[in-house]
Amino acid sequence: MNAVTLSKRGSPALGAIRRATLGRGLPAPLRVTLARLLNYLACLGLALLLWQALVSLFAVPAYLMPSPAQCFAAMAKAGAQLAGAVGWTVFATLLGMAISLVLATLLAMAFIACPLLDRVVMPLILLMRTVPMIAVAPILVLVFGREQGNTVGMVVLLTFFQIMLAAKKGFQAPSSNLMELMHTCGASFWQTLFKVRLPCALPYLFTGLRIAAGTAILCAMFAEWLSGAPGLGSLMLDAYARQDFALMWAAVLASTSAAYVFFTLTIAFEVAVIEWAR
Amino acid sequence: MRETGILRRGAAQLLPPALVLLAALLGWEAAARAGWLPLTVARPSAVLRLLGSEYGALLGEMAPTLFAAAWGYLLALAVALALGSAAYLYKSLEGTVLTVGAVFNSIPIIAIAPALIIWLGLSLSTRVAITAVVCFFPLLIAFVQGLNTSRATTAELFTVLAATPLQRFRLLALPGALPYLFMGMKITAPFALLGALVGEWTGAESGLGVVMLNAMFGLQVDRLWATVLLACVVSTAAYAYVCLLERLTLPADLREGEAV
Amino acid sequence: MAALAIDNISKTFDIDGRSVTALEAVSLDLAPGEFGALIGPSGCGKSTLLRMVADIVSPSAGRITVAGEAPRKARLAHHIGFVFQDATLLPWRTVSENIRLPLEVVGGRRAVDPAAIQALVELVGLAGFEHARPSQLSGGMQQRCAIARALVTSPQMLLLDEPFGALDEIMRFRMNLELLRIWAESRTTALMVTHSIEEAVLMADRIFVMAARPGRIVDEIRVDLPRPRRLSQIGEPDFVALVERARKSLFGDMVEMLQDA
Repeated sequence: MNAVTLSKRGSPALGAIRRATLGRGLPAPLRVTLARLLNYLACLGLALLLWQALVSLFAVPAYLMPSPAQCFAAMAKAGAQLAGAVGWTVFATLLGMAISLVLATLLAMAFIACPLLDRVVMPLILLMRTVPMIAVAPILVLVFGREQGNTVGMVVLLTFFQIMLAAKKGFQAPSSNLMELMHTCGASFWQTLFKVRLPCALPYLFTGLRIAAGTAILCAMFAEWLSGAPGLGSLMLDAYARQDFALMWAAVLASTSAAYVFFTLTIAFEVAVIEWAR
Repeated sequence: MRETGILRRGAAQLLPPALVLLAALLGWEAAARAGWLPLTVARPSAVLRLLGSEYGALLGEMAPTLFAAAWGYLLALAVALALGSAAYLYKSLEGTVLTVGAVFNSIPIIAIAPALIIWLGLSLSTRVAITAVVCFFPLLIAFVQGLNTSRATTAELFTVLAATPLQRFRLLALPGALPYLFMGMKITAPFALLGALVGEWTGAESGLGVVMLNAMFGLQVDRLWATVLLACVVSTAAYAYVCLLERLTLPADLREGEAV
Repeated sequence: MAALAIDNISKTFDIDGRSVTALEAVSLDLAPGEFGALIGPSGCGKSTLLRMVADIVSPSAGRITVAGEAPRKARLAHHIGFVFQDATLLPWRTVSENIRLPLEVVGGRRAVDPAAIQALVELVGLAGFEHARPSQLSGGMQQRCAIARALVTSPQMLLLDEPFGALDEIMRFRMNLELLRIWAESRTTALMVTHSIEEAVLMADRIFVMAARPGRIVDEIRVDLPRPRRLSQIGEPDFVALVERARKSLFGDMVEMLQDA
């Protein structure tokens, strides 16, 4: 049963496998990660060159745009601080996603088990999906203050709906023929759930995780920025407020790289799952 | 006779969740009155009262926010359509466009906003720019994905018909991309308001975001909840508007994705 | 001058570093107005061969001439009509709009004569469905629309790739007779790929039987049954004899194996 081919059409994972032409001998997830990272480094290299050129050619004042060299100096000076901030942010993101995954899967199972709940609550959930959760951030700040609960809470809020909808779609994925087969075998609801629905749901779940992961880390940084919880977001705001623009841009570089790497890893993960399922 | 059938079915679909929502709100109100909820959670009745009394002022504050959101979204759409078409017609550009877009998409909005403000100054057009940057990549990716979706046999058909690349674009890629574009537009519509809000939070004199931030720092609980509610209502309205646009443009069988 | 001349065609594909020979030294020809059928097991390269005639795929060796021209010239001059196994209609266009698509590609929207389109719609039996969209049509009706689209440029070569493969048997026979009727009007040279021996004998003037690995032609059968062909011919002795002969060629030594079992 090649359930993996059911995953969302045009996922970046499949595009990435196609485009990753280097290192043919390596396993696919490694190849894809390498390709994307090299792409990113190339892009970055080009951007840095352009940046340096612009700054020197137009003699741009440091407050408007510090040169790459100044940024790297700031990065080296605040190295430990930056690393620590990255750690906080990544930790909060992973924790938030884990909580979200558990809650979302449980709720999706509840919807499958109780169709009445589905019919009554689903429209509300779909409605809430159209709301950019980030707009709710100030309320979280009010509730959590400056704690990291902000960050984790924001990630949970943002990723919950995406993962839940993906899980629900996955649980409903087994064909009616398959479900009829289980029924004629006399399988109970729970047996069907674990033997059929859960394996079928896995590809959809991974797709949901991938989509959620892309924005989860950015969302975590945003929560930190707004609330002052420890992490890259508040570091950036701090540097901006103190007019230490070199540090601010260093933090921007660090956060962009962190987000890109995070996203790349989720694609690589999905590629690994696809390869394993083949 | 047909109309009442549709009304009845619509009501049957909407009524249960509406009732649940009402029940939840009443329960919330009761819990708040009983003192079970922390002070930072406003009561529905207080929020509604504030909205009712300050209706005019709040709408006035919303005007610049809506302006930035709408124009930023349209700008992003225009650029996404242009770059997406270029990436389709000149295949060599596609890789570059998508990679640059992906990198841009990784730059956190909290970095983009201050950067743009430093460069462009504190003005409404800066916030339009911030919104545009936020909305750009999801629109681009949806459009490019849509353009490249076509079955192998349809592509072969156009080869047999000896269509020029421009004809392929106009007759096959563009119409085929519409469902995907609408999907992207639906997903991105709420982001437009978000971009405008973040722009205001980074630095602005007026707008809904400013009111929100002041309420947050000033611990004005009811006002904060009221403004957040307004923001949510606006973003849902934007989503619904795009859905309506899609419903008017595409016949039912060509629409992808769920309806709200 | 033959309408279609395939001369010693070979095709090799490079898959995962290995080279696979899809077709080897295939030759056939069709006189103008003849209806040819290609039958063979899956993997014998018959669809690839068809696509080479249409200039969608290029041969590794050998030459193809379509009405005296190379396939590329014929394709660019809009002398080729192709009917795919799945109707491949554009879902956002109505039946009429789908049919006139080739004309729009040739000369723009103004070059389309509505009366000619309407005549084709009626020819394929879709009168009344001009403004229907593909999702509203059955499989058979979609294929009729696809056939009309292939004929709209009055092509000199009509290529069909298992056009009725996705239909059930009853529908398939009906469509066969419909296609014969439609084809009789234009008498274009036609080459059809099919996996049904009866369909091939019913429709064609010449049948080319292919074998797989590598793809090659193992037999050529001339079908001299009188036209217009009718469903009643299917039970007649000369029809059955031709089917038997084709089946023998198709199954080759498998027939002996099955007899021993």
